[in-house]
Amino acid sequence: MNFTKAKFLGIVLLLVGLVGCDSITTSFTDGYSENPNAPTDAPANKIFVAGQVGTMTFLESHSARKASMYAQYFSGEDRQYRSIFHYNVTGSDNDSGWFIAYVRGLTNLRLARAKYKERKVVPENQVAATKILEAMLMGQVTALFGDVPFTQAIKSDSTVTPKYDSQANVYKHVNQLLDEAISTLSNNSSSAISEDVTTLGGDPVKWMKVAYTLKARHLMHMGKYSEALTAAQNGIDATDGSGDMKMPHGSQQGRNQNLYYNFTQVERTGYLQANFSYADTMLAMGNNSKTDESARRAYYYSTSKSGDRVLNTTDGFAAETQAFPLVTYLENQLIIAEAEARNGNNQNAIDALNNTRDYLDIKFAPATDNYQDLTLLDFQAGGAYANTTILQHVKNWTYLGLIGEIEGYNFVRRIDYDVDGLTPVQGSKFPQRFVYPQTERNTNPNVPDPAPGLFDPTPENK
Amino acid sequence: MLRKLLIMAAVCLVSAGTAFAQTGTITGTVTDAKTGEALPGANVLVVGTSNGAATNAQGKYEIDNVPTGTQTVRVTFIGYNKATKKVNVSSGTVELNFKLSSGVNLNEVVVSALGFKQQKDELGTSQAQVSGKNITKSGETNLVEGLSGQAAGVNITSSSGDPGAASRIVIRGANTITGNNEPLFVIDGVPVYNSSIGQSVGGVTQQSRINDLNPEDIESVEVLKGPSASALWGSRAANGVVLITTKSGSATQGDKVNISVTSKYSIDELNKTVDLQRKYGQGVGGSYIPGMFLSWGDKISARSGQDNVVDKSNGNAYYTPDGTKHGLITQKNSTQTYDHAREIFHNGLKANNSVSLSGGSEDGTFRLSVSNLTQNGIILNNSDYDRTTLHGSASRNFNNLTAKVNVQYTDVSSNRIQKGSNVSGLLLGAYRTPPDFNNRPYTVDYVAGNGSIVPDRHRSFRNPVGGGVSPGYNNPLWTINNDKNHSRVKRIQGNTELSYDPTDWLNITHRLGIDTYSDRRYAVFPIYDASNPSGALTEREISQYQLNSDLIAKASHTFNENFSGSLTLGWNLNHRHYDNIGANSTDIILSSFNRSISNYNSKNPFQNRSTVRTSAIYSVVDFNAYDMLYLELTGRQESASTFGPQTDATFFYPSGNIAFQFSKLDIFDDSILSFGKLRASYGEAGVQPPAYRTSTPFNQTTYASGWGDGLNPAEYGGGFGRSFRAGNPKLKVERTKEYEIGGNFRFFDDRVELDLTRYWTKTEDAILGVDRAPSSGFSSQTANAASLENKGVEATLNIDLIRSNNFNWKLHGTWSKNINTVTSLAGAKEIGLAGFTSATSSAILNHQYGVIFGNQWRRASEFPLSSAEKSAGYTVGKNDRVLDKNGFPVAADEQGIIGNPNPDWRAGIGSTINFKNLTLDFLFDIKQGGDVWNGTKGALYFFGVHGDQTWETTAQQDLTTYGGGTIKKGTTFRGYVKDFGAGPVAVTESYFYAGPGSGFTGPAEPFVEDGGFVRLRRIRLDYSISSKRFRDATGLRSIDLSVTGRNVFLLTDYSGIDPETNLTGPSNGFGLDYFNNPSTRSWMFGISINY
Repeated sequence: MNFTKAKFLGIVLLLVGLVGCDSITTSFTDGYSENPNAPTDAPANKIFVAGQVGTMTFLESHSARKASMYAQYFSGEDRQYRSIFHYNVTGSDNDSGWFIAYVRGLTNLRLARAKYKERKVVPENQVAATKILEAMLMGQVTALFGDVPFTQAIKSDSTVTPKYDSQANVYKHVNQLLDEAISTLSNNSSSAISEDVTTLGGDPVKWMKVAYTLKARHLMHMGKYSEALTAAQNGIDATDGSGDMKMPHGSQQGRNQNLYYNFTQVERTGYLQANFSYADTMLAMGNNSKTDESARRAYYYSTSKSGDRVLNTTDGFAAETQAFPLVTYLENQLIIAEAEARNGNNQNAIDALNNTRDYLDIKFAPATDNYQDLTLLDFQAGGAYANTTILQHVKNWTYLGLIGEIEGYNFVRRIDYDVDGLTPVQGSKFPQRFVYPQTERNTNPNVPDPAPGLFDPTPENK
Repeated sequence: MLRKLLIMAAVCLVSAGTAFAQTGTITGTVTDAKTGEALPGANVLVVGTSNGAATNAQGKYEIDNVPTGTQTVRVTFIGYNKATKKVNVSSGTVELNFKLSSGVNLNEVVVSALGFKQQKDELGTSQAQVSGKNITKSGETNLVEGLSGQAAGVNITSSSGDPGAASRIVIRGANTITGNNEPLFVIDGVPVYNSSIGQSVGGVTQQSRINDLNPEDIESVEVLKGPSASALWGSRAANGVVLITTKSGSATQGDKVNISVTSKYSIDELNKTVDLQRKYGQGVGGSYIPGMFLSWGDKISARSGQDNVVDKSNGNAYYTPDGTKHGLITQKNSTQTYDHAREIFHNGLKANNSVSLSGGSEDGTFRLSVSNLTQNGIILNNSDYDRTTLHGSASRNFNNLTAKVNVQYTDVSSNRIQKGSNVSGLLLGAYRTPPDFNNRPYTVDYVAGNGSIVPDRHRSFRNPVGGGVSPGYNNPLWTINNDKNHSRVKRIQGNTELSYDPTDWLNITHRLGIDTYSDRRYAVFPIYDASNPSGALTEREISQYQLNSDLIAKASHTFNENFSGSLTLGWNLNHRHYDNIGANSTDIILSSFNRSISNYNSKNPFQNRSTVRTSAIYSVVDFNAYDMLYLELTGRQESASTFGPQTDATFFYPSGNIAFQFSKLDIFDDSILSFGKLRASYGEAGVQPPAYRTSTPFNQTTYASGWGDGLNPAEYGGGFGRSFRAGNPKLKVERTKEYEIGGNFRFFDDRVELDLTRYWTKTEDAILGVDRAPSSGFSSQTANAASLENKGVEATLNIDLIRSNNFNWKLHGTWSKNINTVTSLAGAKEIGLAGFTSATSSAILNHQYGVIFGNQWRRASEFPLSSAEKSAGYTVGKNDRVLDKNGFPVAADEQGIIGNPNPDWRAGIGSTINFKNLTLDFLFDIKQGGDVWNGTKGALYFFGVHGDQTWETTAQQDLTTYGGGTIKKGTTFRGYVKDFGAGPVAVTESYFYAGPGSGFTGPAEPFVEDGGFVRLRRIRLDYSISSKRFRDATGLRSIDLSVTGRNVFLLTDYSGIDPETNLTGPSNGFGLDYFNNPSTRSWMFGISINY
């Protein structure tokens, strides 16, 4: 065979040459690493929408339902919801809420803000809106979990394990954001906020008032009643609810339906009902000479064909297209009523209560006067609320004013569940927080150790 | 290397030149030991000299000039064992005859990683071969399942008995954490898809795409078990490679065309079912409650047997399809019960017909075949599989050029039934139904409270008069008649091959292969379905396309009679494209018209595609010394498009192996050890990251809570948010390294063959999604983060017990054991692979891959009692269990490892007994150990319907029940007495639906069972009519008749439907059973007429 050493060497050299030369193989593979399914960047406005929807999803989905079970607005009656309702705690139960808050909400709000700020002409009102939403979101996150990552959060470039800020600091930061936003909006009150997904329609003045109410909310969380009162006096002021910030809903299943509806009617029938709802009972017993709660009760609750007390998913709070309340005139006036009552200004408190009663009349039964105005006499012998103090009535009333919202759980914890007749679902203790999620415990060594349990109050509530 | 080779060659040449003075002649005949026929062309050599000769046509040889004295003479002949004899040579002529033995194992030809034929005895790696005949013999219509029990270290788990269901195939052990652990499939040298898209804990069991192949078209299957054998396939070969060679025609005499017509019919039966109780009725607390989801009601035999008391008032009444009015049964008097485990099944039927034509001459061959498999599954309706295949292959030889083409077309149409954790699933609704509830009728006209009639409501045991929009769980009869899941696959796969020999030492081959299919699926859930009460439709088309090109040059050189070698150089290009497009739609408008997306109020379209390109150059150096020592070195340098900008996208995968046929050394006696080989090998292969994980995308996706409810920014003006998964521009290849040693030993004229292999595999930089703290803005990132190891032993033993003309008896066995350890998980405690939160098949540090992680009993040594608990009456009972104040065990708050689905070992034992034209063949498949989580039983315990739950006990003393109730002495109750360690207690219904006694309310741990089994995978009788008289009379070559029993015997302690089942199909996680659709056994009758 004429296979010479030279030929053999030639082939070996060719082989070595090919191996040494990457471009032989890379020329075929280069240029195919770009993802055709999703872009690697998006403009600020689109990220802003995502951030808003993420924020609202946190405020309206499992966290709201869980808060509502702990506040006994609704009851968990099947599977895991039954277990949650009975105070059985697993860290993993808070995984998805925490994830939505940070990864879907806060991440996109902050990214949108950074992108707005990068622009040559900075759309200041857009920046302000991201601040208000961040404050609304993180105010509730800290209220539920206590100390949480804030200053180092969403900085994966520099830290993958953010430190936990004290609850007081988080409140301080979010109220600072609100102050900045208020200042911006008051200077630019004529330019609309674009891409507003809420019911406010981009009205900068309404957004500014929402910011004041949120500030008042946080100050109440910290027990700073006088400061809260001052803020609330600049808060939402439309008795007809037109200044309320709500999340609008539609009838696209799993896409824009009211989440209480989607959960109870589509995803998990039977899990969340109201057979053991204390708010339902309280509304049922709430009628007196000046008050007829039947319309309000029917708005939140109904009776199913099988005789169960359930959420009103037909034409009420949990109806398919019902907008979900985020910050309302009602809450603002309840803050005023409580702050005034705590300061001993009973008439002012009653005035605020009457504002809420007007609001409820407009909302639930515009044709009839279900909620007649109260006077100081109503808290004396023979009055509609003769057996209670004004402050106690404000507490009971606020409890009923926040059905279905995370804020209702924040409220009952803050007042040590001092609502007439409210007792723990089992045992002798009420829940005091959401425990830290399992995912965060698994990945972030900065989670407070030992991790507080369900019955340990958050720092501001201690 | 090259220099050594040349030096060795030179030394040999010099040493051959020695001369002797005295010489003689050796002469003799070489014949076949068995038949006595002469063997022409055998090589006869006087060892240590260059003297030799070849036998002539009569098998005679003569060697002159042999030095006198004692000489060793060696005979070699292709297809036979070599033989050596010593002889004393004097100056005259000495006669020396040889009888050479041939054995079945001798000189077996296998297919190498690159698709070339190679002598098995020269291989330096372990490679298993299964003939196409043995696959079709199994009676399985699915290729993967047909390999079960036939090759050591090849582990196959079927997912369910649904027609065409996917099977999980893992060779040796898992090599990666969350990536694909299944081998690469290669047909005729070209990689093909074995996708199984859409597996989950619910839904339907999907098909594996490799089963598109008709087993009748397969010549042989080679299994390259790990990187030491498969390194030439680079980043797709870490889990081994399964090489499939399809049949081609062979030369026939004259113009003869071989025609085979084969028909097989089989009856499939339900193999095993779950035991359900039929003693107690629907209800709770010993009372009948209509519509109740539990079966803790009254004792059925204690009922009066008279007519039931029925309430036919509005709101409680319904009309059956025949127009009769019925109502809610408020008091049950009937003692009738129903077999909910069997009423939804019947015997399935399979018909498999195929025709093939083949023929050819020295110039070329062809083969054409067409086949059809029609299968109706054991589920009453809508569970079927219809596969038509066309296969053609042709080759033409020219002077120094050979052209070949292979093409296969497959058309599969299949209907499937929902299974698993799915309120629309078949067995979930069926098994939970109380024994006294009649599932017929399943569709009724409901009379509403106001007297209006609502037509076609879905009636079920939780919706007994059709009053609700949702049935709670689907009535299984409704499911199989209304829910539709259809898939239609059209696939073309094939290749062309050109082989050119410009000179006698050089061959250039080019192979171009294509594999493309589209899978058009739809799933219809009509209105009133439990999971989609408003109706739902998913329409989608999945398609994959793969193009592969290999250009290979092979140069061979023989240095002298003792040394030869070859060098192969190749260039591979591979392009793969995936596309999945469709829409989910819900909330139907016109309920009867359910296959139109526009007829739904909510529409959710989806679209996903990816392109991956790989390119490589590779080389193989083979070296053979003295026909004894075989050395092979390979290298592959590969680039892929899936790597990020911050990594070099080019990687090198080396391998090497050596085989030493030590029995050819003269010191071994042929009469005992007829063949012996030792081998050692090393190889590296890799895994590429999934496409597009190197950058962070922005997307518009529904932001859902863990409970499914959520909002989509698209409905709010459109919003793109950042993905939860951080891109990783530094991703590099995941690498698996393997060492393997082994030997092949044959004794007594090759009657006994033993093959042993030991291997060690290590995977580093395993690619997986690493959890990140969500507060950092990302919850996950794909990273090179884990490592794992496998080590194991494989043995194969073949014995020819009896070898004669009329009677042959062969035994064969395989045995394998693999131990897997997850050695690093990047700090993660547990990574779930498949399953539920209560029981997850997981990767956990320092444990075997796939262990079942779940809710467990609380044990005092691990979770000691606190002083508060002690004062509340908690105690420590038997087995270290913590007991509550009433003496019942409690579950731990933390999850732990509760089972290991990996078997201790696996074995296959088979035998073929052949008497004249009659052949009996059987194969046992044995799995020792390997746990299965019987989630079905755990759930059924909650509902009170499991067959165990017929206990009836009379209390001999006052007994405490779970929750603190008391059963008075002398009371007869449904339950049993047990002492958990704090004295006897009454285990009653509350222990199961409220306490820790069921899988819903208590730990999963007690429902983990030993899944070991002995299974008679096949038993088969073949009769072939092929006598000369028959051939002359009919003109046919033969008629073959067969009867096959498939899966007819199963010995197992497992109490569920089958220990060999997996909820999530061919997923990484395994050992999970949760209302899986059951498996089948079959009897098959076949006839094949060959012309």
